[in-house]
Amino acid sequence: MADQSTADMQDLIHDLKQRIAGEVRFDPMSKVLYSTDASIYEIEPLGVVIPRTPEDAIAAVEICGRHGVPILPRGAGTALAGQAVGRAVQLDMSKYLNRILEVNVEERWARIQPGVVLDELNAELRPHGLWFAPDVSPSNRATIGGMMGNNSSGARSIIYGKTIDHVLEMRVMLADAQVITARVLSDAELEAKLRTPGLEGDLYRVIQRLATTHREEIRKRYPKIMRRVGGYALDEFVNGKPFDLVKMLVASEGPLATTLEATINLVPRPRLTALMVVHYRTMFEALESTMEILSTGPAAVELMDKYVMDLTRASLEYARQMSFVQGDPGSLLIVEYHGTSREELVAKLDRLETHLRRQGIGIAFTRAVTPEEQERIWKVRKAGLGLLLGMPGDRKPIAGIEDTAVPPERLAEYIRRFDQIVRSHGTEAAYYAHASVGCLHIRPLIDLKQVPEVEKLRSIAEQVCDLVMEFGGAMSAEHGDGLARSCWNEKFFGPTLYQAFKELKAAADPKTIMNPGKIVDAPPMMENLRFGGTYRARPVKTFFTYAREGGFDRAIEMCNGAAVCKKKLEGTMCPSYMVTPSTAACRPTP
Amino acid sequence: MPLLHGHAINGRLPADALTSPRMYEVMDLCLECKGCKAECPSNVDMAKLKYEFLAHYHARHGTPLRARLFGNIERLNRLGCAFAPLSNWVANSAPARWVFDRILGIHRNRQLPPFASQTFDRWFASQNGRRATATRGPVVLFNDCYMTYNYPEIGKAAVKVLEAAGFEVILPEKKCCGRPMISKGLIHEAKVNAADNVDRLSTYAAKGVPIVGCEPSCILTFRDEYPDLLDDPRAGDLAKQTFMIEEFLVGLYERGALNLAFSNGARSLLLHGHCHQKALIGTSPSLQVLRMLPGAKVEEVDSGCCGMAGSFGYEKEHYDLSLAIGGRRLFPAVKAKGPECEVVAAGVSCRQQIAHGTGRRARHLVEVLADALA
Repeated sequence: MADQSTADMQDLIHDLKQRIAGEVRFDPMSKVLYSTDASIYEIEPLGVVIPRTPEDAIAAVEICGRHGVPILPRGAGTALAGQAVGRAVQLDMSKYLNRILEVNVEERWARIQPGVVLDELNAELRPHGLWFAPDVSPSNRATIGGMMGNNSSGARSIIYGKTIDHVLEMRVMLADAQVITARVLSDAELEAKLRTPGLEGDLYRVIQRLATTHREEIRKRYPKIMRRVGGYALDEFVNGKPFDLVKMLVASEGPLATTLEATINLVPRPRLTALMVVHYRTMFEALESTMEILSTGPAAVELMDKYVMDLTRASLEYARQMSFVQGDPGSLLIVEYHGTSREELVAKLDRLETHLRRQGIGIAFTRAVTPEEQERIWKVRKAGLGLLLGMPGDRKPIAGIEDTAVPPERLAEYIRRFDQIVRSHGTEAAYYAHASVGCLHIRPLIDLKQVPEVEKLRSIAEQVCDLVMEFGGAMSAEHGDGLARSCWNEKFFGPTLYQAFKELKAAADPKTIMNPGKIVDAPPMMENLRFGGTYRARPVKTFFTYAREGGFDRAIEMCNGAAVCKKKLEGTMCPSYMVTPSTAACRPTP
Repeated sequence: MPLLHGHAINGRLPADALTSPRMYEVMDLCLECKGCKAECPSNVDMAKLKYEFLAHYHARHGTPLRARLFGNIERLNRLGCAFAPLSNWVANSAPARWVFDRILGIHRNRQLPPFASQTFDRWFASQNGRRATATRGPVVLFNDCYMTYNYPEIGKAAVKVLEAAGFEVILPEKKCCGRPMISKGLIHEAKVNAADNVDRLSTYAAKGVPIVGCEPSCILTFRDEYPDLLDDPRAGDLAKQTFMIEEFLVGLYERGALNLAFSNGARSLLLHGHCHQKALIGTSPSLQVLRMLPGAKVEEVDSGCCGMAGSFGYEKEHYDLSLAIGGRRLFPAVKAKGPECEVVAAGVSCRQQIAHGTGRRARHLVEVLADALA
């Protein structure tokens, strides 16, 4: 993806402006606004197209294809691994393509555009007692399209699985701008697809061929845990289930196709829920009790460590929500149960508490039975990531190896080893999230403005990759590969499967224009950093003092790209964005 | 948006991008509500970055007349009050509105706040000698400009409540808190006022006399901006001694040191919190105080910002956006309430916006308390 000459770019912009009813932005500031996501990376895009209609999006792919210019679809930009950045034309699906097209309450499905925000969809569905179940933390601004790209899941994945389990049908554009429908096929339908000429047929043929040829290698190499999303999902085609192209496209992060529309499965909301917050002296005590807790049939078991709790106490907004924490524990597990009556839930909480106390597990227990109490706890849990990123100082708990998962029964042992790796590099890490499924988000404290620290992160990642392989785990459990983990795919899946991934990519995208450099042929992990060893802020003589923030540059650098400013349903931030998404005063859409 | 700033300082955008018209376009939509300061997990303070930006922008492009006018609203108010009620008639006359609209860019649909014929300070001075006997020491009431010149009834209510609680109320010599200047990027002017106020008020703070205020955006300037404006340790000490009136009352209540007797009465109250208060303190002190009223049914609306934000809603180019923000949650919530329900809002802007968007007159919490005193 060599950079285009100015004349070529002018032609491209001209063609785009001719055909696109939405916005075509190639000015320096627009490019800057789309150069980051919630990851450690930053790449200035070639330009930005904000399609107003699906036809706009199709035209953009077609024109970029004709010009040989890469294009990458983007939702809210909350990706943690750099999926949403690249030297490409950014296709922002969140601003206009965010309509709920159809809801069928009887049959429990919805047809949506990719830019629909999860919480906004679920708010619409609430009167029907239904929801789209994968519940990611950034649900108040994350789009379903982005969730499909990453195959996101969330806190309750033990009962609801991942996004891939809830997508029924997709209307997508291929690299040649051809629009196809992906869904589960009968044998006869599959036969017909395999005989179809062109890119669609190529895609079916290559998946079929690779799955057949590498059946044994796929069975051997893919982790045997629910929480795995890395690489291309060839494992979905060797499990004896009917052929479903959706299973390949969800989690493919844009390099195979771009979603225009999807039909998604809805499930009944739990009638009633209750939470128990179990307090522990140390995180390892908490993790060692996970299996005991899982035996009681919870819907979620979520870890909060001391870092997250301390940062929460230091936050103006979230400190007010911390009353559920008793004393100063070293770690918390938040356990959720679902049920149909209050008595049933109270009985479940009683059983858990008795069960744990009998074994001397836990130093304190807080119950949350009312919706308000539970909401407060979830709010704090969901804010954890952003709060971590907001840690003052240059040493930040950064994403990169934050998404590994191992079998839950080996989680405590794995985390001990992980912690040793981190400590042997002279740093420490923050730990949080989904103990229930062996997926902890682990963020070592690293100052990415220092060259030796950049190397330190790479070295930790390398050792963690070995460790994950030893434990039969996954490098990506729900956040996807992006720029942070694609580079480990060859080592992780082995040369045979990596070659298969490359063949798949080449068949689907012969000109390499669809979000290149993700999953295969990725740049090294430590390239394209937002900061990096050469980062220097230009001194500015300011009117205010920025002593509290550590300087004007630090005040600005606090923005970590988590895009919480794009939420629209609750609170005060950001008034302008709430009424006109085009005009956010804060970061996201210019 | 800090991303744009970020690239202006890291060299990926040219240095003058920081003060470019495109940056102005983006920053212009910031209402300085401080919502992000609390709700952004990293507490990115866009409001502060906007004041900073405006100061740099004005330094490069010149300060517009309207910014000077709004920034120096105290002077305008003083003048208006000197000629009230004539000035009220003039200010809201058709020709004047035409001038405001065309020349100054103030939207013609907006009413200017009334100029009081007797300012609050004058009233207070006239009461001298008729004060209730203080039983428990002094409190400084920060007589903000709106209380002084536009809505003296709020000051009178505050005096009544504080005296009923047994305090001797002191009105300090002071200048405008500087909030209007800060919000318009007139940082040098704001520093002059801040330094002056710190000089005068720190003497009280040093003696442990609490300084309480009624207008959230004014009184919270002491807490949030003064320490960043002045290189003076007294600014930090003063910040610690400064409170919103309900915060002060709740503090007393929690120590078991508040003896206020309220009359009974079925009261239905709808609270709309001020953005700066929500960001820096939260609304729980307001709710707590209102719930001290016997028989009160208090509800808070998750209204977000009212959309007025000081001068923002007055400005012609922001008028529609301002009403759209108010119309999102706040106006419907207020309109849904019958006349028996009283709307409570601490911010002068919020009350103006509620009146404009719903035709309902909202009152300050302290007015509700003063009326309910037994």
